[in-house]
Amino acid sequence: MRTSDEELMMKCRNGDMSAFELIVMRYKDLITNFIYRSIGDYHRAEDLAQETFLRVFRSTGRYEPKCRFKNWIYLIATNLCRNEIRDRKRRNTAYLDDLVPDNEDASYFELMQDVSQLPDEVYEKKERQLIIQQTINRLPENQRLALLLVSYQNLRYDEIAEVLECSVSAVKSLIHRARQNMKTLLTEVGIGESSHAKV
Amino acid sequence: MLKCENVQPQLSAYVDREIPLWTIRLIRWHLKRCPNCAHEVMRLRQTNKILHHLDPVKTSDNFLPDLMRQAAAITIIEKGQIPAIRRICRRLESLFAWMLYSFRTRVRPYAVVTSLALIAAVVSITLYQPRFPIPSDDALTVAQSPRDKQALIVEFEIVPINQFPKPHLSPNRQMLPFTPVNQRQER
Repeated sequence: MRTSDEELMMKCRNGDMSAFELIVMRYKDLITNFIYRSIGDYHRAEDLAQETFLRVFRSTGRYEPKCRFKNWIYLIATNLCRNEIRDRKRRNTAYLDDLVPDNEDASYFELMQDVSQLPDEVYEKKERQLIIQQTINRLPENQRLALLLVSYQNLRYDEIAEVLECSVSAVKSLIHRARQNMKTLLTEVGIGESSHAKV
Repeated sequence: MLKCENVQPQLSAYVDREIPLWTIRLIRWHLKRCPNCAHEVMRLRQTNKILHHLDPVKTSDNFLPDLMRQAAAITIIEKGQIPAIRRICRRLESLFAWMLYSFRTRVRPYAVVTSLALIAAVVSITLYQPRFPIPSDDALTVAQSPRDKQALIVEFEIVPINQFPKPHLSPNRQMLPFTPVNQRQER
């Protein structure tokens, strides 16, 4: 039987480091992805993901399983993302200076080894991903976070409401506006008018 | 019938299936009749599909060892700073929290079963009917004193008010409202 996150946290509170390691193993990719999509900087995303886990570790003493652990860890990550976005705005740092991750060459190498894809296709795919990421980063802060939580982290609306500390109806409206904006922005850059989805 | 201006703000939640089932049916019904809204849903789904084109990134290999090293350092620093009594208190606190958590998470099913059993017991006691009727106090008295059995069998006659005889008092000074028929005939 899979041990619940809350149970692992309680073990961690008793000083069990292996329980903390298990929590990190479960969430490290999810949290890093979420932060990376929010701020668009891979190195900084990894740093912030580590900071998220360290904050979780520091607050194990005060941890009480009142809400779901998943929502709590996303709340910490979201707050860190918000701080980072505001800091960057204040410092006027370019968002997308480091859109291409550190393991970019490696991923290109892996893709090149895949004989089913031509180099042109690989390049096109990368370009497309870059444009999508840039479009996401053009969304307002709250809309972006809500959209990322629902699209990539598969959180329910009530869970997102808990993470963003707002009502479910506000989340509904945020996501709707985010999708509308994404649709418009993607159309502007020439993506999103070709294929047909099933109603 | 739903109007487009009511349906449009719900479409994103419809795509995510975050609305009640009956609303989903209503919207689906509307979409069959409204090509504009159906096109809007198609575009929203398409946007979702495009968002999923992004490949997930993976953490670097030294992410976990680095993190665990930092966590261990925090533990050592905290151990050095916090006095022993405080640490014992914290241990007790965490033990208590653990017990509370176990109680909250594991006792709930047992509590449900116990309350259901209690409700069943109360209902069965309320609806229970004994096979033999429970004798009343009077019957018990009759059973205990067979000599008084005849005294309990009394006949009554409805008499017009003007013919109603005067009540007489019994020897033990109790008022008898009606005179037995046999006595009247004798009179």
